[in-house]
Amino acid sequence: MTDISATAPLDPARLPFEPLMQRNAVISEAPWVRRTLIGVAILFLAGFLLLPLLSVFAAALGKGLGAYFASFNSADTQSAIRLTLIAAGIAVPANLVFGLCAAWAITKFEFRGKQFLITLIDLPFSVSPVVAGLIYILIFGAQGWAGPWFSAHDIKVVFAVPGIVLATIFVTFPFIARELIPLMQELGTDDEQAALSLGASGWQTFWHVTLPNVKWGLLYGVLLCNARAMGEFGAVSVVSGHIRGLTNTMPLHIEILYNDYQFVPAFAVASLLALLALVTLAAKSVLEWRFADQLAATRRH
Amino acid sequence: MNITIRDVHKHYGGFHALRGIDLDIASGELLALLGPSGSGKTTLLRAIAGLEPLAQGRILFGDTDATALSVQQRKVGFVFQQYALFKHMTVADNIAFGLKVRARKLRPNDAAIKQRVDELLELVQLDGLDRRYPAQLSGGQKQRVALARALAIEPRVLLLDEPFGALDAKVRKDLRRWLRKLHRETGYTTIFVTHDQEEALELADRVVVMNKGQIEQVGTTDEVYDFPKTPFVFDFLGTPNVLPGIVRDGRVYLDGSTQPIDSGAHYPSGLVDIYARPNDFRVVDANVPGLDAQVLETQRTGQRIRLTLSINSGETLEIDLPHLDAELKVWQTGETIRVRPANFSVFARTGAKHSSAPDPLPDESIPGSGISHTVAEHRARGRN
Repeated sequence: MTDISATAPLDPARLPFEPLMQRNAVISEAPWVRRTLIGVAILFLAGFLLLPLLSVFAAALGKGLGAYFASFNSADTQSAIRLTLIAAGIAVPANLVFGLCAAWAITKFEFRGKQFLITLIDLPFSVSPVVAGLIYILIFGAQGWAGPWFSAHDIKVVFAVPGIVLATIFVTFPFIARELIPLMQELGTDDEQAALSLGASGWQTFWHVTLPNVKWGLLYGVLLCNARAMGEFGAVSVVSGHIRGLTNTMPLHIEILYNDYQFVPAFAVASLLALLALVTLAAKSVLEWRFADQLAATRRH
Repeated sequence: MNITIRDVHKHYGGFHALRGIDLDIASGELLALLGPSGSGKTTLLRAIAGLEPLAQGRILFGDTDATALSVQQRKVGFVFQQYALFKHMTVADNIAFGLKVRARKLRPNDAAIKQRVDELLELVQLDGLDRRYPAQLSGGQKQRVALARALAIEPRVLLLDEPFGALDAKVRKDLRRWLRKLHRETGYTTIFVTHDQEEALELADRVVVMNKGQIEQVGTTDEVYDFPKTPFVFDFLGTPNVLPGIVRDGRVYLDGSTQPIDSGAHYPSGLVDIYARPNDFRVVDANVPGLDAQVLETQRTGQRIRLTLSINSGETLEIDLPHLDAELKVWQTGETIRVRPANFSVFARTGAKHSSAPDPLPDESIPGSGISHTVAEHRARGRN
């Protein structure tokens, strides 16, 4: 009885501010259990995520700032950075358009095979990136279905930039579509119908109503898509052919440098990718914090 | 603009949502589409707007056939149940949307648009809120913005889907009155959908009662309330008592009673169900034809008294009487009184009619009273 009166709130208005654990003995654990669980979680994160990340920067800066910046002077490194930017620069806008189209088709229309299309969009998530790369070799490679036609017309797809872009698009395809589909499903079609009933054309409706409604979800998807596009290794590795200065993206270049025992340049480029990850994470957190209500909490990758 | 609807059908997969709707809507009329969920009322409204393609049938706006017109071409003002305001636009931009998206030749200039928006804001009594965003408005204010946005395009007809569904009771009442006034002032042909009979009766000139994709009855509010054509309409516009009876020689007898309860109208002979609303019963003297009943329960709420009665045949009966003054006699449990339905409708007891009635109300049997058989149960049995 005394226990209850000690924990019972005197002022009901204060109730929401009290930590749930202290108020509700049923769901709380003994203090030592709580501390152990929290401690394990922190140690795990520190050991498996934070420490490697720090070691990347430590190794990159191990021989001083001069050596760090000097490693970006190599022509091969610069070409790898350029190629990564090109691949992401093509893959992200392409997936932006494809993702919007797919999300639009799935959420705004009823048609046969819709469920199949949703499954298909998820395919790149479930297929190993190496397989994704091999698919393009099978299609566009010298022995592939379309390979002879392309080589007859002097177009190089595999072991060239187009192949890298294609593989990147394949792997990053779901990010934007998956971001938009739940959001657009939740929004429904009332806004669009209202716009149409007010006399707007389909394009005006898309531009003035649909796009503003999904813009934060779209930006979020673009961020995730971009991070993956720049970091993709497996699929790109298969189609690239590893030609230095020509078909090496940053992740591939890092591996080559590392295998050549060039640790400082390898980790310097790696630190650039890690920085990108951190920037993406920060931007994602800001978006989530700022527009939590517009980003449905149903999808995490 | 008067609207003519002829033989309209709509299917959703295997579901027949509209089964041959014929309806004439006069210009300037305020019409309610009333019915339970799944009755097709919203589908019909959306069909008029052009938001639902039709499998069969024609919809005419005045003399022009609108069936093949797109939603943009129909120029209807549609107000959605959840308002569908554009969240990223201010109130003024929302209202101006329909004017701004017009082709360059037809678009009024910016000054004219602004003037129109100001007029509409004044009309819906939202002056000064033009720079707010929808998230900063109350439900009732959002509703009025949606209305102003629909009116901006000077629609041929104003269509409202459950206009008060998302509002609380007080706002709903005020807004109803206000909408009635707005309709009087602007004179737009207005059709609204509701499942609330009170709303339909209070607001509309005429009511269309719908059930299972068909129109049960069309009439003025008085007609549908006082002369329901089908048991469904009677049931939907209140919770009636249903008493088993029989018609002999054109006169209506309650089961187990030798005195007819009506001598006026002439009915075809046969087994019937007698439908009477709780407030249509009168307590009468012993020498007047009526029903002897035992009071099972009395419950007074303010100026009304609700009596639960048991009649000779074992049925229970709910009646609702005015409580005029404090000195008036209050009936006690166990007392025997004689009641008479002052107004009632008689429907032949056949399978077809009954299947159109909505599902029976939850069982209201009174614990401890020994009465297990309620009106609702009786009705369910009578259908089989």
